[in-house]
Amino acid sequence: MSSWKKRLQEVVGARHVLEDPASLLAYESDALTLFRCKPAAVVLPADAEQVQRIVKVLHEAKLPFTARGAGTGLSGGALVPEGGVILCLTRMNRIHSVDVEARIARVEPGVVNLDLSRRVGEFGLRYAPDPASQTVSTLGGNLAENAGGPMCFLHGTTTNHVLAADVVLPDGARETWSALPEDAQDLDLRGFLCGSEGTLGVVVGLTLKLIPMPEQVVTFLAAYADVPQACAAVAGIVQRGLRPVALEVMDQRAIKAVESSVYRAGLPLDAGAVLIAEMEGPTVLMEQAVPQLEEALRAFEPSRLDWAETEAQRIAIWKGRKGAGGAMGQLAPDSYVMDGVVPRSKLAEVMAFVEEVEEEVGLPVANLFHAGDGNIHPHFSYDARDAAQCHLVEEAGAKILRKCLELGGSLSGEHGIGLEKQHLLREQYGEAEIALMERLRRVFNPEDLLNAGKGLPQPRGCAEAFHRHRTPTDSVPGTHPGGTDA
Amino acid sequence: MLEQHFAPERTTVAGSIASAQSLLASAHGDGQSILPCGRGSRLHRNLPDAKPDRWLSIAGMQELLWLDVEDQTCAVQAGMQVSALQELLQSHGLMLETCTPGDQEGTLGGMFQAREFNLLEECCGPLRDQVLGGTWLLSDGTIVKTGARVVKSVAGYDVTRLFLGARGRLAICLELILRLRPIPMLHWYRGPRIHAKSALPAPRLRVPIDDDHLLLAFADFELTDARWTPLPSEQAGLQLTAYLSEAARGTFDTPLPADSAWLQDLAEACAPGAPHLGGSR
Repeated sequence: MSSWKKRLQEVVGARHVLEDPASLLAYESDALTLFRCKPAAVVLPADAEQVQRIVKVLHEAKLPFTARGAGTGLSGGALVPEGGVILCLTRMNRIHSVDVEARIARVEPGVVNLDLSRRVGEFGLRYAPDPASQTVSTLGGNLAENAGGPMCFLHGTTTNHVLAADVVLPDGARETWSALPEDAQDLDLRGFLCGSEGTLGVVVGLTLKLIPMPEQVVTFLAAYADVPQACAAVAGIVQRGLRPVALEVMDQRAIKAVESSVYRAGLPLDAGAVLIAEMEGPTVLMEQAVPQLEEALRAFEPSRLDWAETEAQRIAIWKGRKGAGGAMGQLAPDSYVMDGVVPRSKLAEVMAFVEEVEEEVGLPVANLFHAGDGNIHPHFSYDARDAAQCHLVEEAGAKILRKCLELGGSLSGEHGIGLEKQHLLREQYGEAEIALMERLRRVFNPEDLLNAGKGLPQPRGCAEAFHRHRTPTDSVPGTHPGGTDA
Repeated sequence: MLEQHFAPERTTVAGSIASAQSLLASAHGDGQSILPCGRGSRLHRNLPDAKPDRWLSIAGMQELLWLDVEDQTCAVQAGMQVSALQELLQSHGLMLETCTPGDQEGTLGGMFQAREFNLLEECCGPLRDQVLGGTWLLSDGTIVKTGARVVKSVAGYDVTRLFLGARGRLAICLELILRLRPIPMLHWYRGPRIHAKSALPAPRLRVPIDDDHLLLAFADFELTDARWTPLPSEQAGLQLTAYLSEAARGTFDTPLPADSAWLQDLAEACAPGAPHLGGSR
């Protein structure tokens, strides 16, 4: 056994260092299965101190390593180059403290997103970012990707809710990067860390902002003839100065997938699109705002306008929306979930383009998206066993993302760049910006051992080494020698 | 145009990106240290000990570059005054959700680059949450753009947040892309913090003024409790932010934290080999 493996076992115990092929299989990809690479080992630390010791061992051995939560990422960000080690943080799932008065929770990175809201619910509090994966995804992973979710239209994404992060740097040093006034820190390194895709440090603790449960919530479900009409309603709501908490659109294919799955929510099957519009706030404000929202929804002539009359109905609507991605599994063996952003006023235009691309490639697309934020998520159904289909969906995805850029948008709203989009990043930023980001990364990660090859454009061949449809290579070219096994 | 207490004789004012580049190059060519500023109104708080050979003011760059009312975003030159933008936005029913103590006349670039407390933070988040991106001048003369004109983007590192609050020591802020919000129709009351819990129903917004006082806002609600003083305006926006700003003047002047241990390395990464902004290297 290599010396580094022996040392990792000394830190966490032999049963928490996985190296048999069957166990490693689960860690060879994240939720974007287009990219795969089997790690040399997976190590599961129990606490921050163990993470620090593990990182020191890996740093000394010059081994590439990647921190990972539940592996629900959708851009290939949680893979490690061949010969590298995955630090799986799911055992670190303790909620250390909840300060009800200050509305702050201190947690470990492996806490599942929804578990935190469940825990603080008894105090009338909640954690706002709510990615569709929230029943599984971890808060550390949410920070790495700056995760969003439907409620982010009003409440903002993860970066707006992380007050401080304890970080183990790639050489094993440990620091706290904080925006809390009492920590009085000079630079917003915390903000720079959020969304950095695990390339600057391993987060071992988070201090999170909690918000009060709303006094009242009203959830509308409006059925429209088609997606452009639903998008027009979204624009109309925003133009009236209303501030709903969420504005979510699903097209007919998504509706049908949900209604024929365990996530069935009673969505109207004859609708071309549905718009879920939720408003929350104190009763006195809702008395004014809800009729205005209803009027705005009716102005765009919905074929039906329903609202959740009970909390159970509301939960069913959201279960349908958040389970829609899973429901796509019925349509084809694989689903490629895209993520792009356009200015809200360009939503109808980009959705028309998605339809054009769908016709061109001949693969079915279902659409469910955060319309309020202009954040689209076309889901391409395909069969990953067919290399031609894989090529088609990737090409289609790139076309749609280029359209997002053409319309003044961004390559990603919440899934990150990972391995998936790094070849497109130069189309959003110029060489000066990319070079600056690369230099900034090297300040914290000078040897590029931590989550190598993610988030920024890499030399040709590096991302391709992870690609499941390319010839496997023995190591990632040009980056790492594969560690010192001696 | 500039405040008088920070050596205007050593200050040059840029009116465009090109002139800012040229002034920076000229200072560095002369071996002079340089720091950016706006109108100079916050420097006594944010850079009290800084004594660069020259100040580079962006106060001459005051244009609104674009305003997208439908998307509720805008881009401005960083030398635009906060009050000028708020006034302009008010005519469109929009506002920038910021309000800093005692200074609505300073520049947007100065406000976002400084370490300022957003009086609306409890309801609207800190200042940095209102910025979607920007255009920056690095110490070697390179222009870089960060962020995007959409309200949500995770493409690449969040360099915008790294630069915001760095007090101009990593990059010079030239333009900003800002997130805007509709002006809420609210009634505002000022009163003692200790009575906040007895104010019923729950307020739409709570804004701390100082250690003892809060502002509460209600939608279409007549608060009759004598402990709460109605504010003159029924509408948030320019009047309210001006009132708040004045009321809180001097109350959030907290001591500056020590320079981050990462500052020099980050400054070097921003412009390798060039003199660091502020003169240290």
